[in-house]
Amino acid sequence: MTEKGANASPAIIEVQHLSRRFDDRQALHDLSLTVPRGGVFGLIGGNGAGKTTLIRHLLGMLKAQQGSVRVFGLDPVAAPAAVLGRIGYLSEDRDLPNWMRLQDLLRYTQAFYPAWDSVYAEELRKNFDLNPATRVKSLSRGQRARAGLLIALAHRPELLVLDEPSSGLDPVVRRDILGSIIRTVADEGRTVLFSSHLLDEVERVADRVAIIHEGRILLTSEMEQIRESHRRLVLQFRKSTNDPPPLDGMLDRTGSGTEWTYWCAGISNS
Amino acid sequence: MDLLVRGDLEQLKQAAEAMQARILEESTLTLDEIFLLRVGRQAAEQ
Repeated sequence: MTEKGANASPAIIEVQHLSRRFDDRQALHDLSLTVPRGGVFGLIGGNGAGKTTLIRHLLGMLKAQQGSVRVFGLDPVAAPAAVLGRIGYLSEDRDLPNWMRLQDLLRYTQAFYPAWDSVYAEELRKNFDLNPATRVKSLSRGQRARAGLLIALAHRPELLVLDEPSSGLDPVVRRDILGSIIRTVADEGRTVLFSSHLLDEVERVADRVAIIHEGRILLTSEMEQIRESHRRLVLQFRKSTNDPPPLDGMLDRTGSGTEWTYWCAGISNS
Repeated sequence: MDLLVRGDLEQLKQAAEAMQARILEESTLTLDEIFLLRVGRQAAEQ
């Protein structure tokens, strides 16, 4: 695909039949996922579901054993500079050089990004209440998360990838700062992909979500459509029953006697 | 047949009647509930 063709693609991320194995553990199973350009995409799943492994493939840190990965229409392993220069990334473990002072870290990182916005970086630093003279090793967990977020944001990337961005942030920062940043980035027409196990947070800010479990995508759709298509129903039967009939789209049911609660989905997960 | 696509409550009522039941309550789910249902069903199928 040509560079021009790649930029014209409506999808910013296209993963096809991706599988990944670590020794005796299958981390990703024939996983396919499309992330459209613009908006907030929430990747949700429990610990070990495959979220970080998927993200590492998107960043070219892991090469696909089977299947393909395209970001901006490009293979991130074959064209790392062209892909990574347009991505802002906050890793789950916030791996930052401990020996640097924050001001040195910002200067150092700036050198890699021609689009680095120093005014915006300073604005974020103040909003995040970070002292530029502090060494990274002295930052608290929350400060480390905010420093990582600052670095991910300051070059105004087309795609912002946040791996468990709430980890280490207190609830107020999470709701007020992180939430507003994610929305602001998306409102500017850019794309945010963030992984989280905090589902209330995802529900609040995501336009689209994908549920990942044991390396498989169980469901992906617009947030609004997912909400609209899942229902809880309480049914009253005329006669008491221990085995009420199933409803099409039923995910689960519970009850006794004449009153049963059904949980149903009106969309296919295929 | 998918019964619960958007705005399909009437169709759902008919399905309940066919099961000799009536709908006492109907509500949407939180993402948390949807996640647990989907993951739970996946585990049950394995």
